[in-house]
Amino acid sequence: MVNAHLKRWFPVVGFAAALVFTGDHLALSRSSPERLRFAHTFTADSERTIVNAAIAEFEQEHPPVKIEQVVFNSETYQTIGWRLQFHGRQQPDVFFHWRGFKVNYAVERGWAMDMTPYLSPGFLDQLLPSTVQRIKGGIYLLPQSVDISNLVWYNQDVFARLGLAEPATLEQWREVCLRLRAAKLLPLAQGNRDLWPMGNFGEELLGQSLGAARLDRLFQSGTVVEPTDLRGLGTLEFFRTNGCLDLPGVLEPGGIGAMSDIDAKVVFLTGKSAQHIVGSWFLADIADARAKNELRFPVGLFPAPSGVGELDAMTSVTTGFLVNPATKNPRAATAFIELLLSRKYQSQFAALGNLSARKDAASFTSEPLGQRMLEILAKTPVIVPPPDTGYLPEHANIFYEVCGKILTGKLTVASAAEYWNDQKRNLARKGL
Amino acid sequence: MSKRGQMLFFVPSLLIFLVFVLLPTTQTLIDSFYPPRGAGREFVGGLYYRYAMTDPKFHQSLANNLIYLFLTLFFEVTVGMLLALGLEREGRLNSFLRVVFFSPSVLSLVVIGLVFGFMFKEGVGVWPAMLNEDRALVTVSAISGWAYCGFYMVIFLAGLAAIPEELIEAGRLDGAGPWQLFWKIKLPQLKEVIFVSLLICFTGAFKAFDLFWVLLPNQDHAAIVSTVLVNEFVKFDDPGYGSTLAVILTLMVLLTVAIIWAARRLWPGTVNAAVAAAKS
Repeated sequence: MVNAHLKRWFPVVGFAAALVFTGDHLALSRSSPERLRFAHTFTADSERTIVNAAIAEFEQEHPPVKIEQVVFNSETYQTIGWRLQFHGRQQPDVFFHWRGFKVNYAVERGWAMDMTPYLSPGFLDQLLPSTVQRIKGGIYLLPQSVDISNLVWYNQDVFARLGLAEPATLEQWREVCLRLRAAKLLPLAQGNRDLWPMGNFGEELLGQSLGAARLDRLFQSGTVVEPTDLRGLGTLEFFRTNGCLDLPGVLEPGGIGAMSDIDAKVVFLTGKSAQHIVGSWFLADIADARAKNELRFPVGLFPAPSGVGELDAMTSVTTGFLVNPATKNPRAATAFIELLLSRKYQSQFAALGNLSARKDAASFTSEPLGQRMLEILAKTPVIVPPPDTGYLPEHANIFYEVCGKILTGKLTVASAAEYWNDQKRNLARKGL
Repeated sequence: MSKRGQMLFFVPSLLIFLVFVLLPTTQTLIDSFYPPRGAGREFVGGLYYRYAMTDPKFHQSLANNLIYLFLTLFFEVTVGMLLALGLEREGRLNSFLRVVFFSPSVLSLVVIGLVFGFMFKEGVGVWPAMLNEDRALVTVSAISGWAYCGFYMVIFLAGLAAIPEELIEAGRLDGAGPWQLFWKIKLPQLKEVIFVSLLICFTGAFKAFDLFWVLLPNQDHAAIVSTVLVNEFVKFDDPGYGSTLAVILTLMVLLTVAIIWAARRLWPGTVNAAVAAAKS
């Protein structure tokens, strides 16, 4: 009887055990010197066309290496995808990332390789020095683009009609907003449901009032935030109390907290507001709206101006590519990134509104607003990172909440420091 | 059926339970005692549990869960019962209305959330500002009620159909009016159905996630425990604390079930008691 049982079940158990112990070798695609996995978030057709062309050229010039694309949705990638891709067997060889906390995190965990030994001679000289960061003396991220996080996009027709000029100082800008409101127009269409839009703007305001070093200190564990440190956020309070973010019939007071950034963009592009604060990537949306004949007014832009006596600071994040040290072909992986960052392909990305990190970007950026953005970038002396890429997510989140609560009246600038310190103390109990 | 035959039917379910319930639950419990993955995963004991006891975000989310629980008790269970009482009688109109009220419960909550999200969009929707801070929880509860009152209506209709007609007749013969019929006869007879409904409603309220995630992302004033714990995993890469919240949430659901089970014994609901109550 027992023998009969054994005979019946042994093949089943044996097969299951074989599968468990050898299943790893059944994986269809495995890392090899001839196959590179490239993880990125270029989801638009126009972007994919450029990437596909670069891959085709690389494969032709580097046989038998083949490149397999792993395309992520941007929202998924920046929240969970960029970490989870390293927990499986099929890790990427080359992957996209944002400079700052996320790159440091990848370096600390051994997910990023120092590319210095594999870079072509003179390649780094082609890139803007401010975009090339050395970590522990090595180059882990090769920069592809620079995103300016906060630009004020405005309806040029409205400004012309009211005789308004681009403000040069924060004080002038506040005046512009008050005049727009007096003319019964929504001065600013902002959607802060996800907290980062106005949180990034708040970061820039503090960067202007404090400078990069003092601002950075606020996000570190154990440091105490003083009420005077947050005086730069007075502009957020000014906007809220003077109706710059709401207008009867368009946006209810406090509605900024429930509206998404995409809805705010629609409010601006449909002409319901005079201005919209968002990053340089908005140029692609404007181009799309123009192409579909949905944009009925000319759009201008200016950087968020600093107050009299304040620093000229800007929130900006560099994006680029890294190489996984587990790759079987680091030379090919680095060479592929160099091809993507070459003038040939960067000029094609620039036509889509991308601000290239190359020194010669101005020579191939023909879009007038794109050229304006490059000028702004080149002239700004102080760059501060957006909180969600520059700092630990928990600390960044506290700051985003502070800005969100000031905008909805739950906090004042005077009480914000106490709230921030309370949250920091709470995080400290968790060891952060 | 032979024992082997019985095992053959039992084993697949057991395997599914092991792989998709027991193993992940055990792993979650283990993860709640360790910090995020990285170099040096060391045991931290009850650090995250102690942190949860003092975390204002967790307390706020728990309060929101309880508020949502009582609001859905009204919007889902009470409205469902009233619909059942109103549509109890057979008829073409009633049959049609039963289908109308039950239909939303077959839709995915994510789809429902997206549709209502469009309607409530600030600046562009037909009912803007419904998700503003002072009314967000009530709005989400009402949407949940719209989606599930039909489900509870069906449960109560089945319960009402199971009440012996003789009891109702006896009550009518003794001069009981509609309210007395309901309060003294039907309600006691629906005791088991009510407790099942409470069980489903209360556990559902603690497990709620979809509507809140779709309609109110990043809104800490309307966060519930499940959205907070998912954020810990996704946004903050802290599976330790996220797992801790998951364990606490599970314990709360079990506690709720135990309370409802205990309360069931406190409510007499025999046939004789109903008849005696109708006569009095």
